[in-house]
Amino acid sequence: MSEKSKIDSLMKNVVVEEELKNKILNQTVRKKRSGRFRVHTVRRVAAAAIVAVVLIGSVSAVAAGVLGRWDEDAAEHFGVNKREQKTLSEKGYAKNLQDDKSETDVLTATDNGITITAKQTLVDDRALHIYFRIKSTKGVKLNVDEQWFQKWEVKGASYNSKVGEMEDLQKNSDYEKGLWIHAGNSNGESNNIIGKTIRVRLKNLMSEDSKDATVTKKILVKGEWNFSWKVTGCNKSITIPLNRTIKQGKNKIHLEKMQLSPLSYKIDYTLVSGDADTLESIFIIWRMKDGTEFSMTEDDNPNGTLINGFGEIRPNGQTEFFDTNLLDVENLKSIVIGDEEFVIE
Amino acid sequence: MDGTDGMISEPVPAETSKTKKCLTEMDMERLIDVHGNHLLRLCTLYLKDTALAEDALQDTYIRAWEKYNSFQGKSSERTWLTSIAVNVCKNYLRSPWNRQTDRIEIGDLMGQGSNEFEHIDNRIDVMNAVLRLKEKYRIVILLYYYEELSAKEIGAVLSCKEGTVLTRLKRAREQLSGLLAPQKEAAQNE
Repeated sequence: MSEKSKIDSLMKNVVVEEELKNKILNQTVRKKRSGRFRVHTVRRVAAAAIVAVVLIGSVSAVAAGVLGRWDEDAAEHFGVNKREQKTLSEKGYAKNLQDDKSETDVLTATDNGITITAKQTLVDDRALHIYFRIKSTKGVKLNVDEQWFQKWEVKGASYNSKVGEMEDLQKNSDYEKGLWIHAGNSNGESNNIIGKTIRVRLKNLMSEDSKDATVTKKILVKGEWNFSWKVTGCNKSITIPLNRTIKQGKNKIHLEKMQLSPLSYKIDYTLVSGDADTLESIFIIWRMKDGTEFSMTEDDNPNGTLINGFGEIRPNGQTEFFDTNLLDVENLKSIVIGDEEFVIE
Repeated sequence: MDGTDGMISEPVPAETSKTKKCLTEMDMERLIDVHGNHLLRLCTLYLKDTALAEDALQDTYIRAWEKYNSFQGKSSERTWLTSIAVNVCKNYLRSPWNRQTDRIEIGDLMGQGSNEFEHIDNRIDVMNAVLRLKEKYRIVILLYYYEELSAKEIGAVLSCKEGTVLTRLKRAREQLSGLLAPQKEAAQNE
């Protein structure tokens, strides 16, 4: 029996079900080709090599009159102060889901003693963040290091990057935790879920002893939690024309433009000359007016990257999402890409 | 193997000839029926996530549909789709967002009714070892042993040199041997 046959034998239950097949057909041959996958950007004329920033103008797609106080733990996760919370809510990026609920919203679900409530969202046309509160009411202790949900799905738009993680609350409790779902597209394609109904499904709370690798994982709480609501967000980005060619060894990369929102960025560039195989990460740093530098994550890759180790030039640009901090766009002073600094005027 | 340059070649069916600019629904159904399962399994093993693999499969076919008029038939249809799927998966993996991959074993990925395979211990051990490889080693193993591509074809899929592929295959096999040594020793002592 060939290796392929052995693997097929092991994986024989992994098949394309009719539902998945129909999804594919619905997104391709059954749908008109009318720019569905084009990114809608706001274009501004570049003045010179030193660029000018165009500030975000009107608010889009936001429930009128809802400023929204943030869920405290959601705000703590992103480190946003009161001013930033207010700004992000006013502009429509952030919404406290418990405010201004509609009758059709399903924001709370309970199964087998675990109640999960959708509390906060942050949405632009590239990134989606949802914050849930998990409460255990039948004595099952919650542990962010040893537990996770076996399955979590986000329906309503197609995302190629998703991560879900539990975290402790500010007021630490064994029976109450937070859960973040972060989703987006890293390949630069727009994925606008704003104004659409989202469906989120969580399934089975799993557990494993993180200190003992021989302990097998198990279903701690068997259950399914389903949510749905109409998503609000803001799809406005500022566009910063870059129009500069940078060098990396023997490679030349032409930077075209960057689109920025507090939640994500997208950068368009082309490889002018050189070998994509030899490209290495080119880091991006956002410098603020107060002298600080914006950091994307807490791990060893603190900044965004233009090109990571794969060196692939993406036809639709590269998108990254900010997962632990949000960019205070209005206080941005300059952007450093590799060795080039672009000062915002 | 037939075809030029050592590539696997399959005749392109008349109804999906490159003279057509786009795929019909029948064409797309055929592509899904013929290639969907192996692509889904490849994505599942590469991403180590069944839900993400389904998303990757959708993205793969969407890209194939968009780019079909540029498919020149130099490679087989299967290789072409595999190449798209691998690039889709690479995009998913490179995002700092995909961190939920630490505790996956083959049993998590085999789908419902997987208990019937518990008696095939060594096969499961091998697959679990494959899942523990770093992604650049895991993908060459999958493309070589599961997709049965040549080193040259793998190089084309991964946009790297054939020599790089051979080196990665060698290192992957060494790592697998290391990972499987305890199981082998335990089996011999029984």
